[in-house]
Amino acid sequence: MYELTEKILKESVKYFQNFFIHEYYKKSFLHFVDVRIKFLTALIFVMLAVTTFNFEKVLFLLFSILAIAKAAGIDIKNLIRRSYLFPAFSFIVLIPTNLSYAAIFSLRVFTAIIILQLLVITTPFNEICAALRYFKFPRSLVESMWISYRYILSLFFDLLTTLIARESRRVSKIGYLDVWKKGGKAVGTFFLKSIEKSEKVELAILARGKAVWKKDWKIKSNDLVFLAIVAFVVFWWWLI
Amino acid sequence: MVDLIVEMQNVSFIYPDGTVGVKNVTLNVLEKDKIALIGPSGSGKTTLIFLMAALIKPTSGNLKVFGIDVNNNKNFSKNIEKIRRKIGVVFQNPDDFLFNPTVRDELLYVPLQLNWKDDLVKSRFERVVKDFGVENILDKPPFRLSMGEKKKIAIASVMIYEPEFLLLDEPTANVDGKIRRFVLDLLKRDKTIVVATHDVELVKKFAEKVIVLEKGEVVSIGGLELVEDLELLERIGII
Repeated sequence: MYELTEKILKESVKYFQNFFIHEYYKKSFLHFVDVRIKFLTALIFVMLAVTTFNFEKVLFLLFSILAIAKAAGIDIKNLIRRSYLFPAFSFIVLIPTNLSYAAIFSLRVFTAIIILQLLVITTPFNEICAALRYFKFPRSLVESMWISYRYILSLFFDLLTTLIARESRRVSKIGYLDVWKKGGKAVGTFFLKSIEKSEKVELAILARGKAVWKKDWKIKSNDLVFLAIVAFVVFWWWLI
Repeated sequence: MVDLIVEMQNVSFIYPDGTVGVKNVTLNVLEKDKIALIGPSGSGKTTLIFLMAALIKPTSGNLKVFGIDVNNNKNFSKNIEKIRRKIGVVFQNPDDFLFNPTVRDELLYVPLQLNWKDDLVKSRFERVVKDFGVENILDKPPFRLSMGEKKKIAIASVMIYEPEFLLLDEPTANVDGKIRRFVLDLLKRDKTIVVATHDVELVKKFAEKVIVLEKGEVVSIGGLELVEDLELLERIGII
């Protein structure tokens, strides 16, 4: 049983860590689209996904986004792997209410998360912050998001390495009670460490400055192509 | 007959964000081998250490540790604790490795799992505390120690259960001369040892086999002549 608990914990940490990571190794067409356009598009698509209960509209939107991602060379399997958990949970929670409602609700959540994941995969987080600043989001809000993002990533990384370190010295099958006892101690130490870490992250940010989002904004031809595709999808969604 | 400790065939490991950890690595670690993994930062040394310690599973390829197929989930889960007690792995960054509230808890973490008699636990604990000279910091939280002390505690917490197979990741990075000499003595013990390091001088003093990594791939396997090949070391960025 404890193996299952630890495995669930490890897999969850891995999932949440990946949830926020930008894929830098593969530069697709979408990586080069202006971040302001990608941000606005994501916002519009999410609005389209969550403002309707029409199955066809949501499905059309989902497949359009997957088609755009596929055409841009994004790994669809990976995109789905990064997005399935929340909709799966919402579906399970909503099953007792009404099956068709649970299905449409989860599909909407899934579509919205796919959209956000596509933005995260193809855009470094500091560029998203730059776009937020461009759209006059308050500086303090954007700075808090930026600090939280860096802290969350390092926190999940630390949590994962702590779990691996525990595993490296787990030399016998231990009882369930022991798992909670030892695990509790480890979690307590982890939180103490995380406080120290947050202070160090803050110092690192102070040492190297906070303003990472200055940008020369220029609209290029691929931005216009992307805008045309988005306009086409929105138009068809409206027609359905 | 010499036992095979680690058997790797075309092993690759890709991180979730697509970073290549190691690519198509084929190598064996035999009993009593003293191996140095050398390569520049980001060449895959830590990933290879984690794979050899069966802490991560290959994305592709075959990996056996102490004869247990790491990819065979059922058999692996059944035997993992048995092989774990034969393996001692020390991470590069001790902050990642030390997770107990005090140094004392850290040192006793494994012995208390092993159902040893109290006398044995006590004698091993006292010996390690004396050998590593950590009497004064036993009740301190590990994350409040200096880097050198943390390194010592990380190594001590592994040496206390005398594993057969020792994997050390950059053991001499950020340590003073005294701890460096201590590590060197440790590496001369009669065990199977794999050390990932940039420290060419350390390699010359303990290694019998050298594996050179570059961008996740093994570029050379040989003896100490590899660390005398200045052209190779310069090309891959170690010196």
